[in-house]
Amino acid sequence: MRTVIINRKSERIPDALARMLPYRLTDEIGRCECPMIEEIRIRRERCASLTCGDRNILLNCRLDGQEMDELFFKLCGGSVYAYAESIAQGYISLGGGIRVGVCGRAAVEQGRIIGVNQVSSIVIRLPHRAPSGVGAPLASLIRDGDGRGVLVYSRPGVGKTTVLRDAAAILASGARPMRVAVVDTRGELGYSLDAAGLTVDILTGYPRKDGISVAVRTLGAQVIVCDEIGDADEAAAIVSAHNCGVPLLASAHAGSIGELMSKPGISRLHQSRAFGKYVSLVRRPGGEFEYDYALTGADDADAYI
Amino acid sequence: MLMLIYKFIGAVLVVIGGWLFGDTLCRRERLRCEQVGNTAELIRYIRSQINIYLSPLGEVVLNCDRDFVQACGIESFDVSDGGVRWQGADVIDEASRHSLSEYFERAGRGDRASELKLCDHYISFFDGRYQLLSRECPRRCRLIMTLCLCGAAGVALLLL
Repeated sequence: MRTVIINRKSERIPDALARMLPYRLTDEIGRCECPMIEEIRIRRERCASLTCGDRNILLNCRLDGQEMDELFFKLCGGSVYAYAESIAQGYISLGGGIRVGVCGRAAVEQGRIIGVNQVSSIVIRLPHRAPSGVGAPLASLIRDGDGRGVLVYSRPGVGKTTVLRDAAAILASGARPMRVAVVDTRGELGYSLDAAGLTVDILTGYPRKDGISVAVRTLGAQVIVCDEIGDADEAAAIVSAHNCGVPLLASAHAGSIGELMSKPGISRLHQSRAFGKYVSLVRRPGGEFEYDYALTGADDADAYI
Repeated sequence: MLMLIYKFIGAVLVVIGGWLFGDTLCRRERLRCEQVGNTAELIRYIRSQINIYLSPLGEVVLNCDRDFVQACGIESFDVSDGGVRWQGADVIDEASRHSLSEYFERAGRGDRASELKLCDHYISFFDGRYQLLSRECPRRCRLIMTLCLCGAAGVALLLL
Protein backbone atom coordinates (compact mmCIF):
# COMPACT_ATOMS: atom_id res chain seq x y z
CA MET A 1 0.00 0.00 0.00
CA ARG A 2 1.24 3.45 -0.86
CA THR A 3 0.34 6.58 1.09
CA VAL A 4 -0.03 9.65 -1.07
CA ILE A 5 0.09 12.98 0.68
CA ILE A 6 -1.59 15.68 -1.28
CA ASN A 7 -0.37 19.12 -0.39
CA ARG A 8 -3.16 21.52 -1.27
CA LYS A 9 -1.27 24.59 -0.18
CA SER A 10 -0.76 26.92 -3.06
CA GLU A 11 1.01 30.23 -2.95
CA ARG A 12 -0.99 31.50 -5.89
CA ILE A 13 -4.45 31.11 -4.47
CA PRO A 14 -5.66 31.59 -0.90
CA ASP A 15 -5.72 28.41 1.21
CA ALA A 16 -9.43 28.64 1.96
CA LEU A 17 -10.17 28.73 -1.75
CA ALA A 18 -7.68 25.98 -2.63
CA ARG A 19 -9.51 23.65 -0.23
CA MET A 20 -12.75 24.14 -2.14
CA LEU A 21 -11.41 23.60 -5.65
CA PRO A 22 -11.00 20.10 -7.10
CA TYR A 23 -7.46 18.71 -6.80
CA ARG A 24 -6.86 18.46 -10.53
CA LEU A 25 -7.78 22.11 -11.00
CA THR A 26 -5.44 23.34 -8.26
CA ASP A 27 -2.72 21.12 -9.72
CA GLU A 28 -3.25 22.65 -13.15
CA ILE A 29 -3.18 26.14 -11.69
CA GLY A 30 0.02 25.28 -9.84
CA ARG A 31 1.67 24.20 -13.06
CA CYS A 32 0.63 27.27 -15.00
CA GLU A 33 3.20 29.96 -15.67
CA CYS A 34 1.43 33.10 -14.65
CA PRO A 35 3.04 35.63 -12.32
CA MET A 36 -0.21 36.98 -10.83
CA ILE A 37 -3.53 35.22 -11.25
CA GLU A 38 -6.41 37.70 -11.36
CA GLU A 39 -9.27 35.38 -12.14
CA ILE A 40 -10.00 31.67 -12.27
CA ARG A 41 -12.75 30.91 -14.76
CA ILE A 42 -14.48 27.55 -14.47
CA ARG A 43 -17.10 26.47 -16.98
CA ARG A 44 -19.39 23.44 -16.95
CA GLU A 45 -18.07 20.78 -19.35
CA ARG A 46 -15.55 23.25 -20.79
CA CYS A 47 -11.93 23.99 -20.11
CA ALA A 48 -11.20 26.25 -17.16
CA SER A 49 -9.02 29.28 -17.75
CA LEU A 50 -7.00 31.87 -15.89
CA THR A 51 -6.89 35.61 -16.40
CA CYS A 52 -3.39 36.98 -15.99
CA GLY A 53 -3.24 40.65 -16.91
CA ASP A 54 -4.60 40.86 -20.42
CA ARG A 55 -3.96 37.17 -21.16
CA ASN A 56 -6.47 34.33 -20.96
CA ILE A 57 -4.70 31.06 -20.30
CA LEU A 58 -6.61 27.87 -21.02
CA LEU A 59 -6.16 25.01 -18.53
CA ASN A 60 -6.35 21.33 -19.34
CA CYS A 61 -9.13 20.75 -16.83
CA ARG A 62 -12.87 20.36 -17.39
CA LEU A 63 -15.42 20.05 -14.61
CA ASP A 64 -18.58 18.07 -15.25
CA GLY A 65 -22.05 19.05 -14.01
CA GLN A 66 -21.78 17.22 -10.72
CA GLU A 67 -18.39 18.74 -9.93
CA MET A 68 -19.70 22.20 -10.80
CA ASP A 69 -22.73 21.77 -8.52
CA GLU A 70 -20.49 20.52 -5.72
CA LEU A 71 -18.07 23.42 -6.17
CA PHE A 72 -20.95 25.90 -6.18
CA PHE A 73 -22.28 24.35 -2.96
CA LYS A 74 -18.86 24.62 -1.33
CA LEU A 75 -18.41 28.22 -2.45
CA CYS A 76 -21.74 28.97 -0.77
CA GLY A 77 -20.29 27.54 2.44
CA GLY A 78 -22.82 24.71 2.30
CA SER A 79 -25.73 27.17 2.55
CA VAL A 80 -27.03 28.32 -0.81
CA TYR A 81 -30.00 30.11 0.81
CA ALA A 82 -27.63 32.47 2.66
CA TYR A 83 -26.41 33.83 -0.68
CA ALA A 84 -29.68 33.66 -2.63
CA GLU A 85 -29.99 37.44 -2.94
CA SER A 86 -26.45 37.96 -4.20
CA ILE A 87 -26.59 34.87 -6.45
CA ALA A 88 -29.60 36.43 -8.13
CA GLN A 89 -27.41 39.46 -8.74
CA GLY A 90 -24.69 37.21 -10.14
CA TYR A 91 -22.12 36.90 -7.42
CA ILE A 92 -21.07 35.34 -4.12
CA SER A 93 -18.75 37.13 -1.70
CA LEU A 94 -16.24 34.88 -0.01
CA GLY A 95 -14.11 36.06 2.87
CA GLY A 96 -10.80 37.77 2.20
CA GLY A 97 -12.07 39.99 -0.58
CA ILE A 98 -12.69 37.14 -3.02
CA ARG A 99 -15.66 37.71 -5.29
CA VAL A 100 -17.17 34.87 -7.25
CA GLY A 101 -19.23 35.65 -10.35
CA VAL A 102 -21.91 33.07 -11.05
CA CYS A 103 -24.17 32.42 -14.00
CA GLY A 104 -26.46 29.59 -15.02
CA ARG A 105 -30.15 29.10 -15.69
CA ALA A 106 -32.12 31.94 -14.16
CA ALA A 107 -35.50 31.48 -12.49
CA VAL A 108 -37.45 34.65 -13.20
CA GLU A 109 -40.63 35.84 -11.53
CA GLN A 110 -42.35 39.06 -12.61
CA GLY A 111 -39.23 40.15 -14.45
CA ARG A 112 -36.99 39.66 -11.43
CA ILE A 113 -34.38 36.93 -11.04
CA ILE A 114 -35.29 34.93 -7.95
CA GLY A 115 -32.72 32.19 -8.28
CA VAL A 116 -30.06 30.61 -10.44
CA ASN A 117 -29.65 26.88 -10.94
CA GLN A 118 -27.53 24.63 -13.16
CA VAL A 119 -24.59 26.93 -12.66
CA SER A 120 -22.65 26.99 -15.93
CA SER A 121 -19.82 29.42 -15.15
CA ILE A 122 -17.97 30.39 -12.02
CA VAL A 123 -15.52 33.27 -12.16
CA ILE A 124 -13.35 33.60 -9.07
CA ARG A 125 -11.74 36.98 -8.83
CA LEU A 126 -8.72 37.04 -6.56
CA PRO A 127 -7.82 40.19 -4.66
CA HIS A 128 -4.26 41.44 -4.55
CA ARG A 129 -2.59 43.74 -2.11
CA ALA A 130 -1.37 46.57 -4.27
CA PRO A 131 1.81 48.39 -3.28
CA SER A 132 0.94 51.49 -1.29
CA GLY A 133 0.74 54.58 -3.45
CA VAL A 134 -1.28 53.45 -6.47
CA GLY A 135 -4.27 55.38 -5.14
CA ALA A 136 -2.31 58.47 -4.17
CA PRO A 137 -3.40 60.57 -7.17
CA LEU A 138 -7.07 59.93 -6.32
CA ALA A 139 -6.52 60.63 -2.63
CA SER A 140 -4.93 63.98 -3.42
CA LEU A 141 -7.82 64.87 -5.75
CA ILE A 142 -10.20 64.37 -2.82
CA ARG A 143 -8.02 66.09 -0.21
CA ASP A 144 -7.23 69.09 -2.35
CA GLY A 145 -10.55 69.17 -4.16
CA ASP A 146 -13.49 71.52 -3.90
CA GLY A 147 -15.65 69.14 -1.85
CA ARG A 148 -17.05 67.38 -4.84
CA GLY A 149 -16.49 63.73 -5.56
CA VAL A 150 -14.19 61.87 -7.92
CA LEU A 151 -15.38 59.15 -10.26
CA VAL A 152 -12.89 56.60 -11.61
CA TYR A 153 -13.85 54.73 -14.73
CA SER A 154 -12.32 52.00 -16.85
CA ARG A 155 -13.20 48.76 -18.53
CA PRO A 156 -13.77 45.76 -16.22
CA GLY A 157 -10.70 44.09 -14.78
CA VAL A 158 -8.31 47.03 -15.03
CA GLY A 159 -7.95 47.59 -11.31
CA LYS A 160 -10.48 50.19 -10.18
CA THR A 161 -11.19 48.39 -6.92
CA THR A 162 -7.48 48.02 -6.15
CA VAL A 163 -6.89 51.72 -6.73
CA LEU A 164 -9.97 52.78 -4.72
CA ARG A 165 -8.90 50.53 -1.85
CA ASP A 166 -5.47 52.12 -1.73
CA ALA A 167 -6.89 55.63 -2.03
CA ALA A 168 -9.21 54.87 0.93
CA ALA A 169 -6.23 53.66 2.97
CA ILE A 170 -4.23 56.80 2.14
CA LEU A 171 -7.15 59.11 3.01
CA ALA A 172 -7.71 57.31 6.30
CA SER A 173 -4.09 57.49 7.41
CA GLY A 174 -1.17 59.90 7.52
CA ALA A 175 -0.82 63.15 9.44
CA ARG A 176 -4.38 64.32 8.74
CA PRO A 177 -6.49 61.19 8.50
CA MET A 178 -10.05 61.64 7.28
CA ARG A 179 -13.10 59.69 8.41
CA VAL A 180 -13.59 57.35 5.48
CA ALA A 181 -16.70 55.21 5.07
CA VAL A 182 -16.27 52.31 2.65
CA VAL A 183 -19.54 50.96 1.28
CA ASP A 184 -18.48 47.43 0.42
CA THR A 185 -21.53 45.93 -1.23
CA ARG A 186 -19.77 42.90 -2.68
CA GLY A 187 -17.23 42.19 0.03
CA GLU A 188 -14.27 43.20 -2.15
CA LEU A 189 -13.47 46.80 -1.37
CA GLY A 190 -12.88 46.36 2.35
CA TYR A 191 -10.23 43.68 1.82
CA SER A 192 -6.82 44.69 3.20
CA LEU A 193 -8.21 47.79 4.91
CA ASP A 194 -7.40 46.03 8.14
CA ALA A 195 -4.52 48.12 9.51
CA ALA A 196 -5.21 49.24 13.09
CA GLY A 197 -4.33 52.85 12.38
CA LEU A 198 -6.91 53.48 9.65
CA THR A 199 -9.85 55.79 10.41
CA VAL A 200 -12.10 53.77 8.20
CA ASP A 201 -15.63 52.43 8.70
CA ILE A 202 -16.52 49.50 6.48
CA LEU A 203 -20.15 48.82 5.64
CA THR A 204 -20.02 45.26 4.37
CA GLY A 205 -22.89 43.87 2.34
CA TYR A 206 -24.98 47.05 2.42
CA PRO A 207 -26.71 47.95 -0.83
CA ARG A 208 -24.90 51.07 -2.07
CA LYS A 209 -27.96 53.27 -1.68
CA ASP A 210 -28.51 52.30 1.95
CA GLY A 211 -24.79 52.23 2.74
CA ILE A 212 -24.28 55.78 1.50
CA SER A 213 -27.29 56.94 3.46
CA VAL A 214 -25.99 55.31 6.69
CA ALA A 215 -22.48 56.67 6.11
CA VAL A 216 -23.84 60.22 5.82
CA ARG A 217 -26.51 60.13 8.52
CA THR A 218 -25.01 58.07 11.28
CA LEU A 219 -21.29 57.68 10.69
CA GLY A 220 -20.49 61.31 9.96
CA ALA A 221 -18.11 60.32 7.18
CA GLN A 222 -15.86 62.91 5.56
CA VAL A 223 -15.40 60.79 2.45
CA ILE A 224 -17.47 57.89 1.15
CA VAL A 225 -15.81 55.27 -1.03
CA CYS A 226 -17.85 52.83 -3.08
CA ASP A 227 -17.43 50.62 -6.08
CA GLU A 228 -19.28 50.23 -9.37
CA ILE A 229 -22.01 52.82 -9.24
CA GLY A 230 -24.31 53.57 -12.15
CA ASP A 231 -27.85 52.67 -11.13
CA ALA A 232 -30.46 55.37 -11.41
CA ASP A 233 -31.66 54.35 -7.92
CA GLU A 234 -28.24 54.91 -6.41
CA ALA A 235 -27.98 58.28 -8.12
CA ALA A 236 -30.63 59.73 -5.79
CA ALA A 237 -28.72 58.59 -2.68
CA ILE A 238 -25.46 59.94 -4.04
CA VAL A 239 -27.01 63.30 -4.86
CA SER A 240 -28.38 63.37 -1.31
CA ALA A 241 -24.88 62.63 0.09
CA HIS A 242 -23.42 65.29 -2.12
CA ASN A 243 -25.98 67.77 -0.82
CA CYS A 244 -24.71 67.02 2.70
CA GLY A 245 -21.20 68.06 1.69
CA VAL A 246 -19.69 64.57 1.73
CA PRO A 247 -17.56 63.86 -1.34
CA LEU A 248 -17.77 60.45 -2.92
CA LEU A 249 -14.88 58.49 -4.34
CA ALA A 250 -16.46 55.95 -6.63
CA SER A 251 -15.87 53.82 -9.68
CA ALA A 252 -17.91 52.87 -12.72
CA HIS A 253 -17.49 50.66 -15.75
CA ALA A 254 -16.92 52.60 -18.98
CA GLY A 255 -14.40 52.57 -21.76
CA SER A 256 -14.46 56.31 -22.35
CA ILE A 257 -15.91 59.50 -20.92
CA GLY A 258 -18.55 59.43 -23.67
CA GLU A 259 -19.69 55.95 -22.62
CA LEU A 260 -19.68 57.03 -18.99
CA MET A 261 -21.91 60.04 -19.63
CA SER A 262 -24.33 57.94 -21.66
CA LYS A 263 -25.33 56.02 -18.52
CA PRO A 264 -28.57 57.51 -17.17
CA GLY A 265 -27.52 57.27 -13.50
CA ILE A 266 -24.10 58.84 -14.12
CA SER A 267 -25.60 61.52 -16.35
CA ARG A 268 -27.98 62.47 -13.53
CA LEU A 269 -25.10 62.63 -11.07
CA HIS A 270 -23.11 64.75 -13.48
CA GLN A 271 -25.95 67.20 -13.87
CA SER A 272 -26.16 67.58 -10.11
CA ARG A 273 -22.40 68.20 -10.07
CA ALA A 274 -21.82 65.41 -7.53
CA PHE A 275 -18.46 64.73 -9.14
CA GLY A 276 -15.86 67.40 -9.81
CA LYS A 277 -13.44 65.14 -11.63
CA TYR A 278 -13.67 62.05 -13.81
CA VAL A 279 -10.57 59.91 -13.89
CA SER A 280 -9.91 57.37 -16.59
CA LEU A 281 -7.78 54.47 -15.43
CA VAL A 282 -5.56 52.58 -17.86
CA ARG A 283 -3.14 49.89 -16.86
CA ARG A 284 0.33 50.25 -18.35
CA PRO A 285 1.21 47.30 -20.61
CA GLY A 286 3.17 44.67 -18.71
CA GLY A 287 2.85 46.50 -15.40
CA GLU A 288 1.08 44.76 -12.54
CA PHE A 289 0.12 47.79 -10.49
CA GLU A 290 1.12 50.65 -12.77
CA TYR A 291 -1.60 52.89 -14.05
CA ASP A 292 -2.05 55.97 -16.22
CA TYR A 293 -4.65 58.46 -15.06
CA ALA A 294 -6.45 60.82 -17.44
CA LEU A 295 -8.45 63.61 -15.84
CA THR A 296 -11.62 65.24 -17.17
CA GLY A 297 -13.16 68.14 -15.30
CA ALA A 298 -16.92 68.30 -14.74
CA ASP A 299 -17.24 71.30 -17.10
CA ASP A 300 -15.32 69.52 -19.86
CA ALA A 301 -17.53 66.46 -19.44
CA ASP A 302 -20.58 68.59 -20.35
CA ALA A 303 -19.63 68.19 -23.97
CA TYR A 304 -20.46 64.44 -23.79
CA ILE A 305 -23.97 64.84 -22.44
CA MET B 1 -23.37 -22.44 58.15
CA LEU B 2 -20.60 -20.02 57.12
CA MET B 3 -20.86 -21.35 53.57
CA LEU B 4 -24.59 -20.62 53.55
CA ILE B 5 -23.96 -17.04 54.72
CA TYR B 6 -21.41 -16.59 51.93
CA LYS B 7 -23.86 -17.98 49.40
CA PHE B 8 -26.56 -15.67 50.70
CA ILE B 9 -24.26 -12.60 50.50
CA GLY B 10 -23.25 -13.68 46.97
CA ALA B 11 -26.89 -14.03 45.94
CA VAL B 12 -27.70 -10.56 47.35
CA LEU B 13 -24.71 -9.11 45.45
CA VAL B 14 -25.90 -10.73 42.20
CA VAL B 15 -29.37 -9.26 42.69
CA ILE B 16 -27.90 -5.80 43.45
CA GLY B 17 -25.65 -6.16 40.38
CA GLY B 18 -28.69 -7.01 38.26
CA TRP B 19 -30.56 -4.03 39.62
CA LEU B 20 -27.61 -1.70 38.93
CA PHE B 21 -27.24 -3.10 35.41
CA GLY B 22 -30.95 -2.57 34.77
CA ASP B 23 -30.75 0.94 36.16
CA THR B 24 -27.85 1.77 33.84
CA LEU B 25 -29.79 0.48 30.86
CA CYS B 26 -32.85 2.49 31.94
CA ARG B 27 -30.79 5.67 32.25
CA ARG B 28 -29.42 5.03 28.80
CA GLU B 29 -32.96 4.63 27.53
CA ARG B 30 -34.05 7.92 29.14
CA LEU B 31 -30.96 9.69 27.78
CA ARG B 32 -31.77 8.41 24.30
CA CYS B 33 -35.26 9.82 24.60
CA GLU B 34 -33.96 13.20 25.84
CA GLN B 35 -31.45 13.35 23.00
CA VAL B 36 -34.19 12.97 20.43
CA GLY B 37 -36.15 15.80 22.10
CA ASN B 38 -33.04 17.98 22.15
CA THR B 39 -32.33 17.23 18.50
CA ALA B 40 -35.78 18.59 17.63
CA GLU B 41 -34.83 21.72 19.60
CA LEU B 42 -31.53 21.97 17.73
CA ILE B 43 -33.26 21.92 14.35
CA ARG B 44 -35.79 24.42 15.67
CA TYR B 45 -32.87 26.70 16.58
CA ILE B 46 -31.28 26.24 13.15
CA ARG B 47 -34.63 27.08 11.58
CA SER B 48 -34.92 30.32 13.54
CA GLN B 49 -31.37 31.35 12.60
CA ILE B 50 -32.13 30.74 8.93
CA ASN B 51 -35.49 32.45 9.13
CA ILE B 52 -34.30 35.57 10.92
CA TYR B 53 -30.66 36.04 9.92
CA LEU B 54 -30.20 33.75 6.89
CA SER B 55 -27.12 32.52 8.72
CA PRO B 56 -25.08 29.83 6.92
CA LEU B 57 -25.66 26.39 8.37
CA GLY B 58 -21.99 25.81 9.25
CA GLU B 59 -21.89 29.06 11.19
CA VAL B 60 -25.08 28.19 13.09
CA VAL B 61 -23.94 24.75 14.21
CA LEU B 62 -20.48 25.94 15.19
CA ASN B 63 -21.93 28.78 17.25
CA CYS B 64 -24.33 26.49 19.11
CA ASP B 65 -23.76 26.05 22.83
CA ARG B 66 -21.44 23.05 23.23
CA ASP B 67 -23.34 21.58 26.18
CA PHE B 68 -26.58 21.77 24.25
CA VAL B 69 -25.00 20.07 21.23
CA GLN B 70 -23.71 17.29 23.47
CA ALA B 71 -27.14 16.95 25.01
CA CYS B 72 -28.33 16.06 21.50
CA GLY B 73 -25.85 13.18 21.40
CA ILE B 74 -23.55 15.05 19.03
CA GLU B 75 -19.88 15.17 19.91
CA SER B 76 -18.62 17.51 17.20
CA PHE B 77 -19.40 19.14 13.88
CA ASP B 78 -17.09 19.29 10.90
CA VAL B 79 -17.83 22.02 8.36
CA SER B 80 -14.47 22.10 6.60
CA ASP B 81 -15.73 20.59 3.37
CA GLY B 82 -18.69 22.84 2.62
CA GLY B 83 -21.42 20.66 4.10
CA VAL B 84 -21.98 19.77 7.74
CA ARG B 85 -20.78 16.44 9.11
CA TRP B 86 -21.35 15.32 12.66
CA GLN B 87 -19.97 12.75 15.00
CA GLY B 88 -22.21 11.35 17.65
CA ALA B 89 -22.18 9.25 20.75
CA ASP B 90 -23.38 5.64 20.43
CA VAL B 91 -26.33 6.36 22.72
CA ILE B 92 -28.35 8.21 20.10
CA ASP B 93 -31.33 6.35 18.74
CA GLU B 94 -30.59 4.59 15.41
CA ALA B 95 -33.55 6.02 13.50
CA SER B 96 -32.71 9.51 14.78
CA ARG B 97 -29.06 9.07 13.86
CA HIS B 98 -30.06 8.18 10.32
CA SER B 99 -32.51 11.08 10.05
CA LEU B 100 -30.06 13.60 11.45
CA SER B 101 -27.41 12.55 8.91
CA GLU B 102 -30.02 12.76 6.20
CA TYR B 103 -31.02 16.26 7.34
CA PHE B 104 -27.45 17.59 7.25
CA GLU B 105 -26.92 15.96 3.86
CA ARG B 106 -29.99 17.65 2.38
CA ALA B 107 -29.70 20.98 4.16
CA GLY B 108 -28.16 24.08 2.62
CA ARG B 109 -28.90 23.26 -1.00
CA GLY B 110 -32.15 25.14 -1.47
CA ASP B 111 -33.52 28.63 -1.02
CA ARG B 112 -34.81 29.99 2.27
CA ALA B 113 -38.37 28.71 1.86
CA SER B 114 -37.27 25.18 1.03
CA GLU B 115 -34.76 25.20 3.90
CA LEU B 116 -37.50 26.19 6.33
CA LYS B 117 -39.73 23.43 4.97
CA LEU B 118 -36.91 20.94 5.35
CA CYS B 119 -36.42 22.06 8.96
CA ASP B 120 -40.16 21.75 9.61
CA HIS B 121 -40.17 18.24 8.18
CA TYR B 122 -37.36 17.08 10.45
CA ILE B 123 -38.69 18.96 13.48
CA SER B 124 -41.99 17.13 13.13
CA PHE B 125 -40.12 13.83 12.66
CA PHE B 126 -38.04 14.33 15.80
CA ASP B 127 -41.02 15.61 17.78
CA GLY B 128 -43.00 12.54 16.76
CA ARG B 129 -40.11 10.26 17.58
CA TYR B 130 -39.68 11.97 20.95
CA GLN B 131 -43.34 11.50 21.80
CA LEU B 132 -43.17 7.86 20.80
CA LEU B 133 -40.03 7.23 22.82
CA SER B 134 -41.43 9.17 25.80
CA ARG B 135 -44.51 6.95 25.76
CA GLU B 136 -42.46 3.81 25.37
CA CYS B 137 -39.70 4.74 27.77
CA PRO B 138 -41.44 3.89 31.10
CA ARG B 139 -42.66 0.56 29.70
CA ARG B 140 -39.25 -0.29 28.31
CA CYS B 141 -37.63 0.68 31.61
CA ARG B 142 -40.02 -1.55 33.51
CA LEU B 143 -39.31 -4.40 31.12
CA ILE B 144 -35.55 -3.90 31.38
CA MET B 145 -35.69 -3.79 35.18
CA THR B 146 -37.91 -6.86 35.32
CA LEU B 147 -35.65 -8.82 33.02
CA CYS B 148 -32.49 -7.77 34.84
CA LEU B 149 -33.91 -8.47 38.28
CA CYS B 150 -35.45 -11.76 37.23
CA GLY B 151 -32.21 -12.79 35.56
CA ALA B 152 -30.22 -11.82 38.62
CA ALA B 153 -32.69 -13.57 40.91
CA GLY B 154 -32.45 -16.73 38.80
CA VAL B 155 -28.67 -16.68 38.99
CA ALA B 156 -28.90 -16.00 42.74
CA LEU B 157 -31.21 -18.99 43.20
CA LEU B 158 -28.78 -21.20 41.33
CA LEU B 159 -26.02 -19.98 43.61
CA LEU B 160 -27.92 -20.86 46.74
